[in-house]
Amino acid sequence: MKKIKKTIIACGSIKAELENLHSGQDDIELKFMPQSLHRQPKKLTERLQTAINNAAHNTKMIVLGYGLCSNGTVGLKAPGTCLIIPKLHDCIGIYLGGIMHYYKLFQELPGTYYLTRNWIINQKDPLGLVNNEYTKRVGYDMAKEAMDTEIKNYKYIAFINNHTGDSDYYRNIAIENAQFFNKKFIEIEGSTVLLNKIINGPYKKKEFVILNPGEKSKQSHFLK
Amino acid sequence: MNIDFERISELITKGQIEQLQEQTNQAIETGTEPAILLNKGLLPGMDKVGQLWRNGDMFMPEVLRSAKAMSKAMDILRPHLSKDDMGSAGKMVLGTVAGDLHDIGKDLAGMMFEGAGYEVLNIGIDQPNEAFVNAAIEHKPDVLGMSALLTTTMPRMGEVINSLKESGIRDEMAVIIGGAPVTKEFADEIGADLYAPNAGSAVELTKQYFAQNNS
Repeated sequence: MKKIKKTIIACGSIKAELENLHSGQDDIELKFMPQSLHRQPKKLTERLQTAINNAAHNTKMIVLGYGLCSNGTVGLKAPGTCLIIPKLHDCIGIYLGGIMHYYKLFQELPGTYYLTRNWIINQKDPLGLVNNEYTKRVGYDMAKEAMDTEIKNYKYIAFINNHTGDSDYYRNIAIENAQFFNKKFIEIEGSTVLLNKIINGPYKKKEFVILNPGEKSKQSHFLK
Repeated sequence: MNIDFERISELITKGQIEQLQEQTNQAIETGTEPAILLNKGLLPGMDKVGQLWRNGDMFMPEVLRSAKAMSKAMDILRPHLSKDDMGSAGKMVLGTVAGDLHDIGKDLAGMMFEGAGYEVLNIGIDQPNEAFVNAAIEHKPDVLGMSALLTTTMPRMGEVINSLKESGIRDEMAVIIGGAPVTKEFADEIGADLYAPNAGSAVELTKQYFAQNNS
């Protein structure tokens, strides 16, 4: 059986963006995992390893649409094929177009809590978390107090606009969060540069962890 | 009166603040040694919280509710802890590394060390490498604790250890590191003495370390 050129296994959080950029190439296969698995990193590793094993026999190369993601991509290996992982800490770096832009903003705007379209849709913004997850667990007052504590040292709430979907709606939710938690709102232009590279390359060592067949990923591969 | 320490631990893990305050007051009034109450009731409770959190069986709002319960109980206990209890175990300098603004875990660890008899000098968040070194020179701690929540900032921990070496004081203290993305492998790589998977276990690991190294 002829192997396909490339399999991309990505987080569901970037599904819409990757599908937009994938121009129907038959030789590049896209597979998605449920999002929010980074909250249970061990489970993320297990699920990813299974997906890699299932894809490995039928592809020439596997690229992950993930970063280090709470160490969820540590310890992975692809039997018989190369495994390529973006050298990022989390999906914020993907939305910003790469690690260098991420580090630049990290220096210029310390204390920024980033929100993306996907986080807002899934109600993982601070207000969404308080209203839909925390309150169920501990009641509203403690939920609000917990979130205040979690983000007390942040100065900004930033909306990364990648122009997918209804940007006005997402921006308004981000502004609402900033007002509610007494932070300054800022908007940052997103970028598809890295998303494009995940699909089409080039995979340079500066931006990607490149593992030989059977080689295991380590945390140190991702750290600056 | 027999104090049910397991019940006290359970009140911490369940974050039942008022009941915990009541039980703590009752224990003190009936003559329970504050240090025993801490070591058998409160600290094991927070240790359990740390384990549940690490395993993904407890979520942030519950952890913070438990931490608040612990803090309220400590407020009751603190005036009763004797001078012998406070600071008797040693001195600790504690901080979050440069670029990192997260302090929930660090502050929890601080509270646990304080409870275990350490004098804790918490130097705060976003501390440059030299702030750790300066604090270590000034206070001569037995333990230096560093935390990071971001993989972006974790490498600063190794840099602090290198700065301690350059200042010639590295061997004068035990260095303990922690934070969600930190691993034992990373701790070994950068030359930390101890890695704590959660705030609760940090104290116990430190005690074991000194017991082994001082014997």
